[in-house]
Amino acid sequence: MRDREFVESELSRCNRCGYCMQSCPVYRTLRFEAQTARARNETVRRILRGESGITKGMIGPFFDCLLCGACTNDCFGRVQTKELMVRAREAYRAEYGEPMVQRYIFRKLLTDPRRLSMIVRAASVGKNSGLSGIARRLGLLRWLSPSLEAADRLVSAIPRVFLRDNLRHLGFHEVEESGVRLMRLEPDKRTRLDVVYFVGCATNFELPHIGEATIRLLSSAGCRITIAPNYCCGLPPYSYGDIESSQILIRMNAELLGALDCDVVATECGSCSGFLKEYGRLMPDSSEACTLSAKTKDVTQLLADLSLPKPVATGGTVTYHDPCHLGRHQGITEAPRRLLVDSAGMKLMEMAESNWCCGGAGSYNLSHPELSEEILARKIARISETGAETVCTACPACIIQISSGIGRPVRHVVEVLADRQGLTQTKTA
Amino acid sequence: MFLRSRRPSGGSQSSEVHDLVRDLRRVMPPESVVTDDLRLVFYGYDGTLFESRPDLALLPEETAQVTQAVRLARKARVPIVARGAATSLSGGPVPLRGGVVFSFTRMDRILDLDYANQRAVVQPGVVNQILQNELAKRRFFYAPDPASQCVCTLGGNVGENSGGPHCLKYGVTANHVLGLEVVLPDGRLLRTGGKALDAPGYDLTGIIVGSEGTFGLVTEIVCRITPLPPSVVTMLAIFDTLDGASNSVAGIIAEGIIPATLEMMDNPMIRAVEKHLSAGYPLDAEAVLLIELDGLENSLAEQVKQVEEVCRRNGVRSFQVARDEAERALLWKGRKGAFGAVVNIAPSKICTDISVPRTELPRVLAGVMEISRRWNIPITNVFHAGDGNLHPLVLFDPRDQDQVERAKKADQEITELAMKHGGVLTGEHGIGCGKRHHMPKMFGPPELRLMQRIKDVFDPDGVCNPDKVLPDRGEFEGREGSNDAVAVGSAIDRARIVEFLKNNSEKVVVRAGGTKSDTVADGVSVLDVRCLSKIISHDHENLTVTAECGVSVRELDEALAEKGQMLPCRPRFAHRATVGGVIAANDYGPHRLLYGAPRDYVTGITAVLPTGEVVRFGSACVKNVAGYAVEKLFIGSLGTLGVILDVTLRTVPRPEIRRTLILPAEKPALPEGFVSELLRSGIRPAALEMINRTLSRRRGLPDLRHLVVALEGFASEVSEMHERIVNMARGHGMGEWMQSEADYCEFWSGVAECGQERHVLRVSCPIAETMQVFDSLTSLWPNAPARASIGLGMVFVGINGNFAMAEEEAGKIARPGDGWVSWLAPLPPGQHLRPEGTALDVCRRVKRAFDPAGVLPDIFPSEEMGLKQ
Repeated sequence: MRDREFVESELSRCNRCGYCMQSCPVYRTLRFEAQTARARNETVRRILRGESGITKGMIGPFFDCLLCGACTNDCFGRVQTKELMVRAREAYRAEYGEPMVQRYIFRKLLTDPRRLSMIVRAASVGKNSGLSGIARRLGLLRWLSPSLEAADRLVSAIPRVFLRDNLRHLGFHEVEESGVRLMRLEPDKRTRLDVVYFVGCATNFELPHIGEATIRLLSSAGCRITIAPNYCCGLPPYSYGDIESSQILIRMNAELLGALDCDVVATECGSCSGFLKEYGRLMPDSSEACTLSAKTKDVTQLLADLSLPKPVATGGTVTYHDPCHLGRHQGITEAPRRLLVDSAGMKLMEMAESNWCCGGAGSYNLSHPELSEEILARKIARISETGAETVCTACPACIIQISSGIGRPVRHVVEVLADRQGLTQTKTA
Repeated sequence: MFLRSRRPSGGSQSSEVHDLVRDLRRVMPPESVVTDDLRLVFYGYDGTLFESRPDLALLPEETAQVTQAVRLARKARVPIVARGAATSLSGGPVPLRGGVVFSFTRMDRILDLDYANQRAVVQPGVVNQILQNELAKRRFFYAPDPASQCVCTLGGNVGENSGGPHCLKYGVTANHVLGLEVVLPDGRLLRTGGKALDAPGYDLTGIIVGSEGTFGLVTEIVCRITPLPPSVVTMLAIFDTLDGASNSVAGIIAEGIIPATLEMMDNPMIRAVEKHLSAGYPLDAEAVLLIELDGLENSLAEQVKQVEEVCRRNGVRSFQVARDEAERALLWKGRKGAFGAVVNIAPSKICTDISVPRTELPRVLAGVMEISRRWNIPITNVFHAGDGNLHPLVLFDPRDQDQVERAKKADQEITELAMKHGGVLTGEHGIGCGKRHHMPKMFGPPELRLMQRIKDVFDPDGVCNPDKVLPDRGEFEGREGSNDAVAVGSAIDRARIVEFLKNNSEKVVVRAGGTKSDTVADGVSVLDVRCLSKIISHDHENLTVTAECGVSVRELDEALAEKGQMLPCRPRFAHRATVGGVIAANDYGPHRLLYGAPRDYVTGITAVLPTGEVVRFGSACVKNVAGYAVEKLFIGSLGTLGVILDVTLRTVPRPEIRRTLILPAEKPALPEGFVSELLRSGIRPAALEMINRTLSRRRGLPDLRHLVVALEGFASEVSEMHERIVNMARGHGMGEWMQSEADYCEFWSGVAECGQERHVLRVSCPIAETMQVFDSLTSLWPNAPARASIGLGMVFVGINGNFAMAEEEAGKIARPGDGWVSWLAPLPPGQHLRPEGTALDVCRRVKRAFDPAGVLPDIFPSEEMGLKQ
């Protein structure tokens, strides 16, 4: 297993006390011991001690985990079970092979934005076209959406125009810097900050309006925005235990973005911002990766720092779901709430268990459809209890998952903010 | 040997197990039967270093599945082991001999939240915190709050008799679990207790709680739920010396204040916490004391001042009081983060558990530090200072085998240290597999043999969680035991009683004050124990007293008064009744509402069995879960199990003032809403009684029904309660209260005695039905003295003849299953106690385990009578 010393050090702090059962969404839903972090840790421990090989049965303990990190929060020793699971998944894949489709997506598509874009577009153009069939067989849409049925609905919902297609309409112009073609938007006011906006896959392909809201907000706050042809952040392959693929993407992004002269790298995708911040830890030898991590800020964090003006309209109630990758992993819980209250003028109605994972968890809804639904059901119950008019969060993956269950659109904090800051009009160059 | 031998580890399934799995799959859904090797590993560990793989694991969701599975397991001759969340710190749920693990995590429904009757009925897999969250919505709580409450199950709490920070004031699991449904190893269903108090027969609930799953599988739990106190104040006191902190604890209790929690941390723990969390503790402080008081708002303020005063007198360095919820969280921050903080010292820990008399704390802590030095292994302390329960954390790195061995040795020595200081093996974690071998240090062969016989009553084949609690039979069977329990107190008389029983084969009844004995049949000898009349020790700092059975209640109370304390009971006939009699009869008066019954405050009993063996169970430690709680069986046994020589009781501070309030309450002058509002208000009256016209007349009151309330406590507290009760009654349009001029004790013993009738019928029922039952009974016997303990769910009627008919009539009023009819001691001639269903059989077998020759009286209908019915 990779990083043996790290894994052993984590395991040495697991006393099997069982406190990890407290808020693990999977355990609380099923109540089987195999779904506890201590059982997952114990499985790894047995392998390291040589008491067991990697058996087929370990697929349960290793792959049923949401990687939401709730157990680490409840753990006295803060054992990072989710990191252990990534390494265990890698070992499992090495033993039992990896699905071809996954390998194709991780190695060939995510590293080639043009091809990725083509496949997704094909799916959106016609459900029955050959390419969309390929896309569906690749599970690409399901990777983006909760269930096959929902995926089909999604196909018609996928915008014909992706965010990147629309940048010129948003006022961007092309520039070239050290041989890289970039898109840039100058603010009308004095520039306060040079921001590289990292475009996440889900934002680009599925929720471009979120990206537009981000762009308007940053621009009106005086940021000069640069968009590079960045790749997938690398979190999907990492979560599947394909650490090598994720490293390829990390390296490609680090080389592309690390070299750019900017103050901040920002994205409104809580998962992307979280993983970008991990780059330095995952590739400590790469100075670009370290620089990139150090410069990364989630948009909610950045906007809160920029102190937005008072909202043009106020009122309405909102409840906020903490995305695991933003709240627990980055510790950003106050900023989005403050933005909703102070800069959007809404009344915040806290839901119970706001950091209970929605069950989206990357493609968990694909690999564990029923369980994912059950975990989501609890989230939806907590949302309903609040009676809030608007449901808000700050990660596209959560938006897609919760929207599918609740039957109405869940909004990103930046969307609500852009509305309330009077930035709904498309800006023309 | 009933159990088949264990398969060699890693071997293939035996044919018995194979057949068992096949049969189980017919009665349980496939996902509930776990058989694969990897997942079985997960059902073989807990929070300790012990592990052992079961043959299979089941996750039942209904009692019926448990019953069927137990029967099948019996056929296959494999052990059965109950498991909750497996947060145990004693190896309790580790299946040492394989077999079937019953994991109750999916049997986790809250079946009934009955706020009106202050009871909750739950399945064993309900997580403590989840119950608390539900209750908090209606401002109630379930008092036992073990540190692991966020994950541990109530079934596990029952198995281990769990405590927690709040048990200093509110008691442990045994005090709050009032009924159980248990699947016995032979597949029969045993129901004990219920929503109403004091089911007839031995206290089976009391002995099953804390039996560590060695008697059967608990499938349903009835527990008491309590209204949240209206107000809580949290304080943090930092001390330069351990003595300053310890003396403050003693001082606070000497002031008559019983804090809701009293948690202490020592210097190594303070340093770890500060480094990790920056809780604001000075690194050179020797002790931090976290104190929480709860009660009524105004009177709390005064107690806070008293606490601060005590701490100042003992040289406190700083004293903080939390003014709001945020500050409260800040003061708790260090305590809550303590377990996480020690990870910085070493990654892993053994959380040990010992209980010592509180006054021994400084010496025990010094001893722990000495052990830490000797084994060169860091040990930090955070503990429940109020009740002397310590959890030294032995810290080590599991990657270093040498450290692991040293940590284990230190753990063992800590247990031995506790024994040296008059402590017990375990305060709240249980014996499990880790401390079995220490049992002979705390108990002699007679106690161990008796515990084994009790175990055999429930589990004759030894299939239930084998190799737990008791040491191997070879350690005690056929061994002579020297028991120094005879050599104390009235030693000569004790020895004479022992000799008499050893050589006796005649029938014997025990008698002392004579308030609870009846006429004796021919050929029965009377064993008069009034000769045992010594108060052995009153440890006022630890709030305990040990007295011989023949000491009269009044005499003992007077002795306690010298130190400003008293007995937590005002039983009937206090001038003549003896301590032994009160305990043997489980006697109590109206003040049970505040102080509890003997089962709540007796912590130890020494008795001679009819065979002449002397046994001592329990101890002076308030918290003690070592071995079975055999003392619970003696309480209320009516002298049928053994001769009680002495008892150890918790004492309570004497209240500053006491007040009786009286309200004429002729129908319909008592609005239903008033009582329920009062019971939920957080006002804690010492007694709350309705007395009928006959009893009112005999108490010198007008010929009317009266509601009578006793208030006890600090002057400010009593005034606040008084004022609020008056206002509450006014809100319900009730009449004016009178404050009684009569002598408090005299008045209340008169009420307790229920008109001094010799035989008092007792009907227990759910609390909310008390007035209904009272009305029905008083219309049946309009001229008999009668009273109702409204907050307890009990009605008492003095009866002077026709007992069988009275019992039958009353039986029609108490709903079967929801209430019971029985008698206060003595039982009227010809009457028996009639436990229901399997409980009767178990009680009879308990009786035989103590008294095989039938020397002492029997209180149950004979088996032939049972068959006729």
